[in-house]
Amino acid sequence: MSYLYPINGKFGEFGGKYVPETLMKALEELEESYLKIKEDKEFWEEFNLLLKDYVGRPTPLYFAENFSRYIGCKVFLKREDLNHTGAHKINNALGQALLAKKMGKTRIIAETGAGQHGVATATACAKVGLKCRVYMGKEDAQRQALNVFRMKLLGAEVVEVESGSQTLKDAINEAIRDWVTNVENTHYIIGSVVGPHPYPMIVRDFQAVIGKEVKKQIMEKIGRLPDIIVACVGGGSNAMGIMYPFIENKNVKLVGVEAGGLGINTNKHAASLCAGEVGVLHGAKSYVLQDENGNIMPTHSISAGLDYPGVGPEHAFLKEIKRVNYTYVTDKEALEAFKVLSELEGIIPALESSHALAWVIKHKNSFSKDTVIVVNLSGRGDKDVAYVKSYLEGK
Amino acid sequence: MKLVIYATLCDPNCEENLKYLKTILKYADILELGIPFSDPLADGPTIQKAHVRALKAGGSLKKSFKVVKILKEEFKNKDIYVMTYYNPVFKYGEENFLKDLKEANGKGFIIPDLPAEEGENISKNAKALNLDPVFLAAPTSDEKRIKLISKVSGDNIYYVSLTGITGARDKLDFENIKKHYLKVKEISKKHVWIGFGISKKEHVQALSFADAIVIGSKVVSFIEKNDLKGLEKFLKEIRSEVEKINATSC
Repeated sequence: MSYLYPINGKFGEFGGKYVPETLMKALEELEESYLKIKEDKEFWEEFNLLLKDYVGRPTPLYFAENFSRYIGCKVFLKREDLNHTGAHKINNALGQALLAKKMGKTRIIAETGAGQHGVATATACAKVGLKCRVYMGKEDAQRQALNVFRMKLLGAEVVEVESGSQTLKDAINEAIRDWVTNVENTHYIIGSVVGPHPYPMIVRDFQAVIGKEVKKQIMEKIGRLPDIIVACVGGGSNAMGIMYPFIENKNVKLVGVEAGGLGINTNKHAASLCAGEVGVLHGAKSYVLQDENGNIMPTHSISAGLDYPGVGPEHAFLKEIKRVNYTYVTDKEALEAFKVLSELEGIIPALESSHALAWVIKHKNSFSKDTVIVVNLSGRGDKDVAYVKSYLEGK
Repeated sequence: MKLVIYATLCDPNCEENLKYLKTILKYADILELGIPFSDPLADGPTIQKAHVRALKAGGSLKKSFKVVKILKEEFKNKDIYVMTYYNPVFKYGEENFLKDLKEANGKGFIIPDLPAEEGENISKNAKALNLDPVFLAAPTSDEKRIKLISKVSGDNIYYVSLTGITGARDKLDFENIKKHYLKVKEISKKHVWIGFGISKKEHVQALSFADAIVIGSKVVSFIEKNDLKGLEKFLKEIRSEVEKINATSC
């Protein structure tokens, strides 16, 4: 189908390459190299072996019996939290690190919000043997201090970004500035399906392993495809990864859950698709949260990984063609889901993934008992425990 | 050689900004008026800070047209280009942007995050209004890209002297700059400006071959200190270097 590969770097009107000229050649080279390795059997053999033995794939598709009873239908959790480093981010980080090595790059830069992508990139660089620098907003670095230390342990240099709102958006700005300066020897590993073409396509393809596994696993378990797939959406990589292999299975309802923060009628949220408008941020045309002069707005979410004023361009396209239903839950609802899953299943979910769980809880009365839902449990919540503790005590 | 001077609109605030811009126009041939933006990703710390000040003061694309108009009434023979990131233009609407820039007697525009591929439409419409779209070329642009850039540009191309962001540099690799500059000139046959890093008269001397040079961060650093006198002294010095170069070239 026409929308499965971006045409001239665009998904419909979304995507593109809105970057300084200095980077254009690098983006061309990246696309060329990627298309080459995409057909390279040796590359995929090496990558798949690492995914199996190093990352721990395939991750289980777990029937959450207690949670299902609580909801009143059948809920399966795709256990991306069981990946090495604790989230889906490693799929992409490792893929891109191998790609960078093939391209002859010696230095890697990355941005991180919650710290998960930073940790995954630092890990992949340690494994593959590349120098690594991670940019992280100062506010995020404070929220996720343990992850900062973790990255340093893994041999990465962490730069705390003090410009702008000191969160993920500013970390990306700083990473792009570094890339413009060191483009000859440096590859920028973007952590989500955002940024200029070909990044949204590359990250999606490396994350699509999630959805491919789900398809196989659910057939083995129940002999049919699920009715609903739910994932949280910040930049949107875990959602793209689980949904992409199901795009053409029109009977599977796809739900993307954004960070509603304190509510989308306040200005304290990060729901770009639900409450934003079309704009250009970080190299791509997509939905953004902006003011009347086109300046990017500060965002808020209890989850650092969703605290971003933009979203991947392919999501904008899937919204436009109405293939995916995008919605949001609030901080409070996510926090409740965080507690519910911990208590019922003995699984502490990441605050990001808690948004997807919260949507299921919120709509529990609308499912029949035979409804089959797959929730992408994109990461584990260990990183959030200290923050949630202080959050609850602060209330 | 023409002298292009950059300053950010509404820096350090909207009132005092006007006296800085007027001083600049006394010495420069061209004013490059920066529109403050929340995420100036091609800019270094000096201009980033200017954008923060200017946003706080209320600077916007809409406001810039009024300022351009006022300045053009006084400085009829000088050209003013608006330098803005793409999202404010997209939000304002490309057509409205071009129409209002034309009405304000602006000469053209520079959009650092709009490469040739994404700029075909705005370029075509700008040229139809006799506005001058200035696209950027970089050390990483090969012949194919320079041709593409040349196609969408009006009379001028802005050659970025280094791989990096804006900001005053102590040393520049003049040999490399000249080599690339000549390549861009030869392929494009346009006027080529050189910018990024230029911050002192020795740089100007070393770049005497250029059609135009752009000085930004160094100028902004005077505005940051609210040092109008210092800025005027600096501009005078640079202007006299430019005059020396112009006197010896044919």
